Amino acid sequence: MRNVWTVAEYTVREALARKIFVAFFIVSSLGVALTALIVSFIDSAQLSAGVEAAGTALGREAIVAQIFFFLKTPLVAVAILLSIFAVANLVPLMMERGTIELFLSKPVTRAEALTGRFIGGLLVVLANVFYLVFFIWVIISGKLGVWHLPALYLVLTILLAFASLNAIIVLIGVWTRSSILGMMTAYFVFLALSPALSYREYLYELGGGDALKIILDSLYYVLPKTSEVLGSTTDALIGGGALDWQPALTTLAFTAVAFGAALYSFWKKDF
Amino acid sequence: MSVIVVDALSKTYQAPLGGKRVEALKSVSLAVEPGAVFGLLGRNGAGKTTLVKLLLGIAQPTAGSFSLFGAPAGDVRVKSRVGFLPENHRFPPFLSGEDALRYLGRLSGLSDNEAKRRIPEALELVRLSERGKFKVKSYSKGMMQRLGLAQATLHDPDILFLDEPTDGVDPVGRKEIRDILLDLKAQGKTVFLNSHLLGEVEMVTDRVAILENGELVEEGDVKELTDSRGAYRLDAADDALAKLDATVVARFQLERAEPKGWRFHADSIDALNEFVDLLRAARVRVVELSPVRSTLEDVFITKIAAPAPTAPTEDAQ
Repeated sequence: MRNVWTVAEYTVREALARKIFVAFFIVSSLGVALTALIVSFIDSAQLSAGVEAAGTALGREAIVAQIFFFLKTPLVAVAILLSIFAVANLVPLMMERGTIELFLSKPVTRAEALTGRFIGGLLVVLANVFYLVFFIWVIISGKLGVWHLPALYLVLTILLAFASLNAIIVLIGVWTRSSILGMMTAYFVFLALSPALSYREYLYELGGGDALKIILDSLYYVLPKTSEVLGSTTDALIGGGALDWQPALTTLAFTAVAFGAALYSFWKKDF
Repeated sequence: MSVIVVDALSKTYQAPLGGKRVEALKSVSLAVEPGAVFGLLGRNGAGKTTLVKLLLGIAQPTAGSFSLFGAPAGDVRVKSRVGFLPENHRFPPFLSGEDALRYLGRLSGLSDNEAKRRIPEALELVRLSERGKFKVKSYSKGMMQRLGLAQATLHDPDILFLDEPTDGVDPVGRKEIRDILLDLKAQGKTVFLNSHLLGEVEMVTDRVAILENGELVEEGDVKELTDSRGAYRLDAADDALAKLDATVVARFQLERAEPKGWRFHADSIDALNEFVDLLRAARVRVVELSPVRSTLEDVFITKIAAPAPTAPTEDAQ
């Protein structure tokens, strides 16, 4: 386990040393600053009066949840797009000639090396996403005087969605040593495939009969459901609505299988 | 017990989808004894790096077996006793020399306290103490090699694998690296040296193996391989050929040597002394008489006196 944490720690340091992490941090800071600016225009006394008139403290929490529903889409888009960009080359860099030989000559198993790299990527993203979401939460909650903790579930759902995309990036990185291909695939899954499959009922109407339905259903259940994890699952967690665990659990299962496949390929690979 | 035992080890690289097939190593067997400096020689692409990669688990053999310190292939724990300097190694450029050593030291199993104590010593050994806090990306090629040697020795391994350790290093740096290798040898470390710089190898190794096109074509003690085998060189103030009797010339195979002097053969010390007596009797004034040693390069060229191999190995990966 020590080796995994050593590799993860130095992966974070490597990411910190790169400009993309700085860009990620700057964009996150701009998001926080923009939120602070917008929130500063809210007249909290008037808002409080309105909420009091409407009824109970639950009304205030509902307002915070509504604000997060509104902010969630740009937050998630920025966080996931930058996260993919930030970690896409971590595995190909490790597999570069001259680097991988140093790694593998140490008493470190291949599984430890790749797991450390994967966890390092997650930690990089967790740090930035937590920074972004937490400070926005603090600004909004401070202004409204309501500390709606479930809003912070957004950090976890972003991390889960990203973990599944990171598993794809790692798998493709091990297979091809290409960061571009991994990045393109992750973007395709996040921006096109997952949203399209979440509306697969509409796609049934395109024709193709049962065959198309089976194909779309299979893809839906096999591939990560980033769209739903970041959509309905997050909404339910933040807003307290009915929660369907299926998208989160199948996404987690996909992450485990994809990363397992990456471990197996990495274990068998000659360098 | 031998530190390294290689038995009929083979490696074939097969490109995907039925692509090109390269036999990088063909049934190689050898053994390395503890405390020896063992040189693996061969042209570029002969299979030297492939053999080291197999021994360290960086690539996996197609056939055959090997053991390191008695442990079979794939035993990761044994690597804590191994130091490796890969060819064209790359350190994380964002780290300083010290940080890079701390990182690789931890991966080698050093505790933070051990690393703290060992890093200054390792940097001192390779004369990089003053550059330890500089970023690796500011290092020259020679400094990178020395830092590579520092990371390889940091955890006090029992065996060192060095792949072209003097590559890109200036003559002074080469001398320093040679001295370090001899120092390691004096400490009883086993060194497995991979190089095509034969002069360098000859100066530090006890035993060598020559690989050609993936096959082991020679293995032996450096002294035996470069032995004079009764050949001597004579430098004299007079024309030995003219002054000596023809039967003596024929018996000792006396002939002119380039650029000056003569060569002759004497099968034993007695024969050598008899020849000296004959020279003196013929009033030939001897200036110098010395055994002719083959260089490792001579041995290598003799063994590899064939067209360049067509099958690439390491470079093809």
